[in-house]
Amino acid sequence: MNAEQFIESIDQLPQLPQAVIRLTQRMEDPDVSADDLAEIIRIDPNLTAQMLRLCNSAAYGLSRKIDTVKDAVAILGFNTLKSMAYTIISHLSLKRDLPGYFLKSGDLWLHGVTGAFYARHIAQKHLPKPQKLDPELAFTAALLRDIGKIVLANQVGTNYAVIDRYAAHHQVGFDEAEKEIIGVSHTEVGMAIARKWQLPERMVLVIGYHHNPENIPAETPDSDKRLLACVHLADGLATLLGNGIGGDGMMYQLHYPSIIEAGLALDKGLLEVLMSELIDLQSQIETLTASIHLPPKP
Amino acid sequence: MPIQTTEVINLGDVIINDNRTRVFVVNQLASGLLVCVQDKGLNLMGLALIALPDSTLVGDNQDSLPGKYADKAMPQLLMAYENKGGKLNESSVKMVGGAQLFSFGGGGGNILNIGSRNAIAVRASLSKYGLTVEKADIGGNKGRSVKIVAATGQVFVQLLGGREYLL
Repeated sequence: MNAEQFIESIDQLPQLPQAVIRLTQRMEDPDVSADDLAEIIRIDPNLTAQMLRLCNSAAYGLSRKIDTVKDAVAILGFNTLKSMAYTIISHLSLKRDLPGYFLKSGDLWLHGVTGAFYARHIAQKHLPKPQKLDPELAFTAALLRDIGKIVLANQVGTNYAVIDRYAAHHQVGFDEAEKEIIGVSHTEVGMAIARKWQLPERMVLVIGYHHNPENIPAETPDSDKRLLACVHLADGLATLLGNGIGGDGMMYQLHYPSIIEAGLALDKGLLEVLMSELIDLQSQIETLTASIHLPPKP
Repeated sequence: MPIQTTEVINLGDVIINDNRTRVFVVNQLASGLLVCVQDKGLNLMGLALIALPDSTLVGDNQDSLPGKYADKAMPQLLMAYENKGGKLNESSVKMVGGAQLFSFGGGGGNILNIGSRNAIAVRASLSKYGLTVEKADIGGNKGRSVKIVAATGQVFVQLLGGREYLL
């Protein structure tokens, strides 16, 4: 059974609200205006409420209260609005608990957001100039990278001990062990979900290859390969620093040549500088997550 | 019975505690290393959650949170512990964490072994103060969660995906 057949067989595939699907599609349209996006957001009361709550949170530090989506668009601008929209989408999709991966409610989302902050930081500060990427692109691309875990969690839970043993014995990544034991990996399933949701192709590729950037199709544009390398490194460092990791957490191999090819001269020194800088992002991450994710009622 | 209060420890934290009602937790500990110094009478506890072995590799301008480096956190922890009346020669040390990712695929050497380098740096710092680690659960490829009960001095460790046990 391939990943597409696998997700067809699942009854409870995560669904995105219609407005969100339209939003993700329109956000990729080069001719779309901020007003067009505001129009789509306004149609969905839940999305509107979440967007306004996030706008008015400490995460964006605005000096005046924003009451309408139109104001939000005018003040924050297109790129920030786009990051914000994907942050809300990631929360809708990733917030649940996943006992199969030993993840409590909010853990997977925290891992998504942390990786997004890290990927943005790496793209902004550490990619050399000729290889620069839009840091907001790195942020949004990283957010949904583990969406496949939502669907695969039950199968992983049932087979956890075997997958865990296989990964440890063969010293391969947990995703590779998932593929071996269950027949599909969370990255393959994630890619199938992303295609079903009609997410932008580069996001589909990041979700599908964020553990194994060396396997990305050769014809992929270099800019997308660099984007993938940033997310791959960010994902590994989010794991190394213990943010939202589960039972599979550290069974992970970073692919050194992909990182180097992207222009990131990663050695012992840069790794430690990066880790140190990323720890300093923690308060920003907490501010953002606190403003959107309410803790469960006791 | 006094009500227990729970406090989450984050990377870079250095904490001195003399409140026996406190319970400290580290929710997801990966390559970071938790160091716990306790006096035998259980009246004082020092905790540090270290992320990196060596501040000199990073440089001064990155020094926003000194507690994240072993070479800065350990002197800070042990001096604060002594200033609060702690006697190092009557204290024990426990250490948890220091896990690591599988090494790089396709080259890159072993630069990802931050967890084990953290443990080496902490042991080196402790030895300067005449301390050794009494109990430790370090290394491996799994994250851990940790709970420290000030009243009893117990340190409970749970490998993610495993059962909780008393260190």
